[in-house]
Amino acid sequence: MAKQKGVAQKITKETATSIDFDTPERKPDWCPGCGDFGIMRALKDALFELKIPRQETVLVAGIGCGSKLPQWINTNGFHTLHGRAMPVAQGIKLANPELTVVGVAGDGDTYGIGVGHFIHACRRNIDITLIAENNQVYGLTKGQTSPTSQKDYKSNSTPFGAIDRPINPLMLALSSDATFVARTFSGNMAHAKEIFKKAIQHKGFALVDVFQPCITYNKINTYSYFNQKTYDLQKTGHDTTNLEAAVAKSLEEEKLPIGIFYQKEEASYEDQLPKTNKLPIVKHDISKIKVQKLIDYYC
Amino acid sequence: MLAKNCPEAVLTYGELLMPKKQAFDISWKVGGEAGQGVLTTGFVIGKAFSLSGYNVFTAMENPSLIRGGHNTMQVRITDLEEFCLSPKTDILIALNRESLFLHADEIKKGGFIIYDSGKVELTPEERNSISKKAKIIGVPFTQICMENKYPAVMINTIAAGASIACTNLPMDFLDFAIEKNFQSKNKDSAIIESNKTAAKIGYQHVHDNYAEIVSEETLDVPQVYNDANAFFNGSEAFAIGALKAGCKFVAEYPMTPSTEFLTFMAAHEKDYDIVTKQTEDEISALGHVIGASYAGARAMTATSGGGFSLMVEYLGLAGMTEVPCVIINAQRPGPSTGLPTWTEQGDLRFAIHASQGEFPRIVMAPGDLEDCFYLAGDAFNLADQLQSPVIVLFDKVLAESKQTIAPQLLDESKIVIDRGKLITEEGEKTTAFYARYALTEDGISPRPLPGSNYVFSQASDEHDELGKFEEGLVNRKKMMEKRMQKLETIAKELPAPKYYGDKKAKLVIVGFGSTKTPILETLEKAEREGKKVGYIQIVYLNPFPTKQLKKMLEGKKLMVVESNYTGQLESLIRENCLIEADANFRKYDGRPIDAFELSDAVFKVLKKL
Repeated sequence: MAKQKGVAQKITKETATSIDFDTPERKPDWCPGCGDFGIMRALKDALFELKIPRQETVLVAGIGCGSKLPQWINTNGFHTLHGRAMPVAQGIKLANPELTVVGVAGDGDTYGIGVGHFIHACRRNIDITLIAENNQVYGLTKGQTSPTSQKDYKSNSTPFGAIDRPINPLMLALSSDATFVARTFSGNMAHAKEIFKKAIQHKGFALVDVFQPCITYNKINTYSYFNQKTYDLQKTGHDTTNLEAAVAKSLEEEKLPIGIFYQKEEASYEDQLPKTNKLPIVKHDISKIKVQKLIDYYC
Repeated sequence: MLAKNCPEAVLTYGELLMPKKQAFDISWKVGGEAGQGVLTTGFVIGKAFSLSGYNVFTAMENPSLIRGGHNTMQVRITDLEEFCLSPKTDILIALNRESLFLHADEIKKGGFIIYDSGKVELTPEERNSISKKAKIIGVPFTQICMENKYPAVMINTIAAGASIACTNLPMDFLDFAIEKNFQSKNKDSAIIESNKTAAKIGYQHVHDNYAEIVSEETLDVPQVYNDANAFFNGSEAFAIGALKAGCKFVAEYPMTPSTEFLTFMAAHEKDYDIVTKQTEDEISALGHVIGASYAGARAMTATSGGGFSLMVEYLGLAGMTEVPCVIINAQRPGPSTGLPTWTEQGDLRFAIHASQGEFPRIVMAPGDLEDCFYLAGDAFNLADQLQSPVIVLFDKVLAESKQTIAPQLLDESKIVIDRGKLITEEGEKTTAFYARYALTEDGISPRPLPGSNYVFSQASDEHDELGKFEEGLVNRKKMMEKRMQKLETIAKELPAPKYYGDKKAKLVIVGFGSTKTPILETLEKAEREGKKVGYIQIVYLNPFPTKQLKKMLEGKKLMVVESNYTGQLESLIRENCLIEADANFRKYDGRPIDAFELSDAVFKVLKKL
């Protein structure tokens, strides 16, 4: 009944195992050298290695350069509103927990306008992954200060230096009781891929804050800045079950640890829903529902 | 009382015995502080009448607080099928001193005031002045409570029982209603029994101490011969219709007067297998709904004007990405926080125009319980067919006032499921993106669900047929035309506005929402006085029924009735039909329109014609 359009390539038994998440007919319009390329590659590889079918994956994005990412990954994508990816992502997962739902949004999106939704997503612990593309600047609107920009950061909206102190995303996530808190760097794609894989596999809400340079607007937090400052947390024998240790690491500023800061296993929100029918609600038969007993109750 | 479904032989005999249907209009009013059980008392009295087959309308007045303040609940019974509240009262139950004085002037001739004679002191002057307005029945509620070791809150049950003694109704009239009320709150049988006893103690006190009144001057409540009615409010009626229509996901943030949608649905999470979520704010509520709907669940939210204001950006997202959703706006007076617990119809234009740019949406307004039940089914079907938001306008009166409806009028088999162009098959695996926004003649694209083999993109940016960002001018024109075409397509399916009353009437009242009941009652009054008035109820406000309304108003004089200041419905009629109203009735004091003030206004207009 439904006509399929676009560049169609039938998948046969032979090609089935090498599904590529690339979109050859669509090319990203990010600036050459943008950190988003690294994030996208790492995410595609992570999804491929986890063997998650592209039909069962949904990428939910906010608004911004990084939020365009779902357009260039060959899977279901829903590009929403600035700061508002989390409610949509949670609604999708609650309606159909069989889908793999990954949120993709920038630092302004996640830690500024969307910070309320972010905090509640952490405490709600619905099994979704949030990849926060943190370039510490507003790229798409041409270079304004972001909630994670350093203090005194100069931009066209703060020409005399930002007075606000920056948000600490990891500590915010930890204090909001997130069950998986990690950070990576878009310039270290191998590391990012592994962290994305662990985050997606984690049962519950998983935050991956990703350091990424904005080569057009952010002249401070650059590739060399991150190459010098970042170090692998897992190589230091960090105990990811220790909340205080995670908080301490999240406060480090001289050197910037990347890796899994904290992880705990808890029942996800949707696993605790008071439901009798175990099927996702999108698979329920709604043609034979009876409400006479409800009417009778009021008689 | 004869039941409607009696065997034929008995019915024939009964018909000979049955008195002619007589006109009556009797109201109770309970007044007191919040926390004294004003609403419970009113509910018990209303429920008792409903169980006995009477048609009941209740109206609540409560300030925005939890304890103290002044609360009232009116319970009105009449012989009419549809009616609203009354400005007058036959029996006032004053649970505190303040209520006695605030409402004494509303009592009809021959009416009663029941008050706590043990607690409220009346000076001889006060007593004198009040006795001119009504018969004063003093019952020492608080004392009786103490003597019987009842909790203080039970003064309301004693008072209710006392009020029954002022009528020809039997002493046990409230028994079943008391049972039903406390059963629904999971109270144990001891509490139910003591409440039944308390009501009878109140009744007996009046009999013992006001013998002449009881023998000569009681209020005569005519008998009716109907089965028990269903007794609930618009929130419950719509929620039940929504469950029947397959609503599986409700996300909401509490806001008066819409909160009951959430609490009702949350109570049925298990037995109807639905997901309900109280979110962190209204923005998140609509976001969750959009996500759940995109994934394939029929999803809805409810709020009031302030919450709807917050939802406006997501509303545009649903319109742009063509995701079905049902949003209830239970209106209350604005602007801003306004009057949280009062009523108005001030968000009509807002609902039609909210959000930046232009995209298709449906705005509908149920007028009574029957509308609420069936329109729930229509709302979800239209949302799925249109693949866009459906906004349902309620107001405090419709959402919260418990009223009766004959249960056989709520036929669940009439709610059928139509999910529009939803693709239910799995499809074939390919590497291609599915054209989610394929251009079609009617503007509506087949809609796949994530998880099937149809992989697709949705974007809030302007997009092409594949959901890819596209800013080109050719594409933009096509996409705007596609989306707006959807509304034209759906408009053809919508039923015409309904006409009530004499077809030959020269004057026609047009209204929307809960003004239906005062308007229908006004039509009834007009008929009894030999006056001809018609009424057109506009259910679908967007798309506006321009063609049909123009035809129905040909040769008629138009009077627009609505509860707002600027005459929003009137302006819609002017704008769409190029028809200027001949008269209007606009109420914006936060109180519901009643048929007495409305019929006064309507008859004045009739005189001038």
